[in-house]
This record gives sequence, C-alpha cells and structure tokens, in this order.
Amino acid sequence: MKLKDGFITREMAEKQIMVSVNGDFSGLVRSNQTAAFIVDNLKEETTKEEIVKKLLEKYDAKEDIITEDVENVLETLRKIGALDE
Amino acid sequence: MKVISKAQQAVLKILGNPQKSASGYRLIKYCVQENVEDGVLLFNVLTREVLLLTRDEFENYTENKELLDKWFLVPEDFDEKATTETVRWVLRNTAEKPKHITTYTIMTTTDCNARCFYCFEKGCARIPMSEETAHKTAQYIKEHCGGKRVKLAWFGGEPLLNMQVMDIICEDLKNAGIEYYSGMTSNGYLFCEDAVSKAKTLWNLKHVQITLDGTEKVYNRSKAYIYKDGKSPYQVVLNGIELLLDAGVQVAIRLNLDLYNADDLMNLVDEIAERFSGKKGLVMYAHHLFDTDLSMAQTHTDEEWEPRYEAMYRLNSKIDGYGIGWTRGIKKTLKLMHCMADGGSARVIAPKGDIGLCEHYTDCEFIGHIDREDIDKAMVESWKELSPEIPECNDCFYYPGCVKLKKCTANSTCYRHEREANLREIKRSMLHEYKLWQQNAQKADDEDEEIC
Repeated sequence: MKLKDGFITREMAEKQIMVSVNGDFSGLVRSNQTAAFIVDNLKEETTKEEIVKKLLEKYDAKEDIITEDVENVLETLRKIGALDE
Repeated sequence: MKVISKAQQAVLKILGNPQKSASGYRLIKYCVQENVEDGVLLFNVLTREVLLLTRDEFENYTENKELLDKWFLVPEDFDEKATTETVRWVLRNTAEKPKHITTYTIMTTTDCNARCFYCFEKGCARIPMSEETAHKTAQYIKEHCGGKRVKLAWFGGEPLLNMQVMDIICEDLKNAGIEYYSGMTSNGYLFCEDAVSKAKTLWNLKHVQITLDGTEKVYNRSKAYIYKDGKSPYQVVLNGIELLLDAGVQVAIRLNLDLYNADDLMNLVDEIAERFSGKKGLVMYAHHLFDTDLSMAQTHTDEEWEPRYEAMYRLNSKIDGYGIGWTRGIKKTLKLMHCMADGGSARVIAPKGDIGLCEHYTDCEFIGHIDREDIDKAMVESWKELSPEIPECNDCFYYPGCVKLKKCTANSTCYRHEREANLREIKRSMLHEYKLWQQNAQKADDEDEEIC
C-alpha cells in the first residue's frame, strides 16, 4: 500500500498537515507525531506489518497498541481515499 | 468585543485550535491597531478578521480568551511566519485551479497620440492590431473562456487609436453568444460622443483609467500630444471624462506624482472636484511615477522617498476630503497571488497576436500565440517565482498580505516607505469597514424602531 500521489504533507507547529492537491479530498488531515510517522512511511510502497515494525523500533510501546494505532490511521486514510492498495 | 468583519474560515480551519502556552501570550505580529471613538479596532492580517474592543477590553487583552480563539493572541514563542507559509501552502495546493481564461488584456495598438516623457513603452515599435488578428483574438477568446462571461481590458499604446479592432472583437463575441464587459486604460483624448456611445452599446465599457499629470499648462506640456489643431488637450480630455461619467462609465483618474509636481496636483484635485462635483462614478488616486527599468526600491533612497510619500499622503487626504478617494474595504481572503501574471485565468494579447501574462511587456516574455495551442510552460512558471525575502520580512506586520514576483517591473522589492504606506492603507480600510458596520447597525436599529 502507498499514499496516493495527490496527497502532500507539511509540518506546522509539531503537527503534520496533509491535503489533496487534485481534489480527491477537500479537507485537511492534522496528524500527531505518530500518525505523521505512519503517513511518511506510506510515501513509499509498504505494508501494515512493516510500519508496525518500524514503530516498534522507534517507540517503547506494546505491539498490540501500536498495531491498533496503525490500523486506525490506515482506516482514516482509506476513508478519505488517500491510499492506493 | 464586536466582530466588524469576519475571519476567513478556511484560514481558521488550517490554523486549528489555538496553542497552549506556559510562558504567556502576546498579540500576533500581524495585528494592526487603530483607535476609534468607541474603542480600538484590531485587524488580523492573517485571518482577515476585524474586531472592535472597548478600551477596557483592550487594556486587558492578554486575559481575553476570545482573542486567543481568534488567533489575535499567540504564545510568546509562536512562529507566525512559518505558520503563514503553511497556511498559504494549504490554500495554494487546495484552491481550485482556473479551468478557463476569463480576463483578456488586449493591446489594440502600441502606437499612441501622446508623447509622455516617462512612458515605459518609449522606444517600442508602434504596431496596430490588424483586423485579421482582431477576428482571431475573438475566436481565441471564444475557445478559451469555457462559455463564461469575460472581462476585456483594452490597453495600448492608446487603445482608442485602433477602435475598429475593439468593434470587431466585441461584434464577434456578441455573435458567438459570449457575454463580456470591458475596462480601459486610456489617456482619454479620443472619448468623443461617438466613442462614448459605442463604449456603452458595443464595448460594454464599465470603467476607464485616465492619467492626469497636472493642471492645464503642465498637463499639455507633459503629454505633448501629436495634434496641432489649437485645442487644449487638457480640456479635450476633461470633456471626454464628463461624457463618460454622464454615460454611467466609472472614471478613475490617476495622478502621476513625481518629485516636482505635488503642488500642481493639489491644485488639480481642486479643479477636478469642482468641475465634476455631484457626478457619480468618479474616483481619483495618486500614484508614484517611477522608472520601470528599476524597482521602486531602487528608484530613490529612503530619505529621497520621504517627501514623495508625504506629498502622496497630502494628495490622497485632499482627495478623500472631496469624497472621491478610492476607498477599499478589507480584502476578505488571504492574498495568494500578485496579479494577473501569476493568477492563471488571465492573458495579455499583443497587437501581433502574441500571448503574454503582463501588460508591461509589449515585445517579449510571451508564452504563446493565438494561432497556436502550445504554451511555454517554463515561461508561465517563471512568472510565479517569488522575490527573495529580505530581513524585514521576519517581523513585518504585512507579511501574510504580501506577494511579490521576481519578474515584476513595478513591485519586486520592498522598502520602508512602502511598508508604511501599506499600514496607512490597511488602517484606512479598517475605518471603512468600521463605518459600514456602524451604518448597518444604525439601519438595524431603525428597523427595530419601525417594528415597535
């Protein structure tokens, strides 16, 4: 899976902002550091498992909690049509 | 606290919730203040909101949660410049790109009947648009406007020296069922009764900008018209202005201010105000005359600009006193583009059919031709390149409202007096909004009384 080409991001005050430049989605997604890390990983072809693995290397947290976080973010991105799967 | 003019919702949405701060809050750098009789007006250049605070509210502004929610207050360590850049980034990337070209500046000719000493087109070839090119121009407009209403801006040289191509373009558009209206930049000399009649019936002319450089003698000398018929060009032009105003066409008189003519222009304002007293549709404004080979900032040193700006403020104040100043309210949305050159929905068509983006370039910087569909995309992009920032940008109150293009001949660099003039203009706009708000409040009160 991968973030669709028309979705771009930028940092603002410790948050990440994501918008769609081709009108696929007219809103704005504001991500905290963890969600931003997931979105950044999705800029290259990847899988849910790879993202979880990278998060486990980065953060000291339980795998089931991290997996749930990743699933939530992926679900949000799916809902707005931001993922190519 | 009263809201005089609402914030741009899209900007507030991007900014999100206000940030918490342990170290306290301060006013955002982009807040402009102006005292009025019943309090203090505050304008946020970034969110575009104007508020009225009572003096008590203003004295205790750091404790006002509403000011925090409205982004007038920000944490002490807030980086408003980076935030502004992100807001612009979001707005630029999410704005709908223009699908059609709906504004066309048409140079009917680069020839002129005046010989102004300061003309930026001096030395350019004098080329009239041919009838064939006029027909092709109308066809080009038809094919690129998407059936939308178009604005035609007649430009030259002196556009009225080639009225027949204006007739052709308008006739062709009319026959094609394309709705249009027009504006013009002209010296006004050729606005006789026939031309004004055509302006109303065929060109659908809504407004004309006419430059006056001084009172009769000064004007006649500086314009140096080619005609040797004994008529005073000054009187001819004023007659033209009168005809236009009587026909309901708005006339904006631009006063070209240089180092030496301020006093004469003050007299001119009196003369014009008296002559056209009571007529609707007349506005006047002073504009600095400058060498287009240099940017405004390079034209003079700060010290040299001082008297010129003072003269301009005096002139504008006098114009305002007559009630014929060009009063603009607060722009409701954040500025993202400088002008037609980087806007994407406008084109300049030169006399030979070349297509450009800026009317100040009559023989170069073209992006295409009306005979061809291909567009020089690199040239289009080059017109979007912004001027490099200067250290003053970091703390400038006007930063969110400022977009300067590297290629702009008139306004690519910034200088102290320009910033001061911007501040004055913003305060003038705030007062304008405040007056409108007062009038609306009064109207609402009157209606309430009637209901009672």
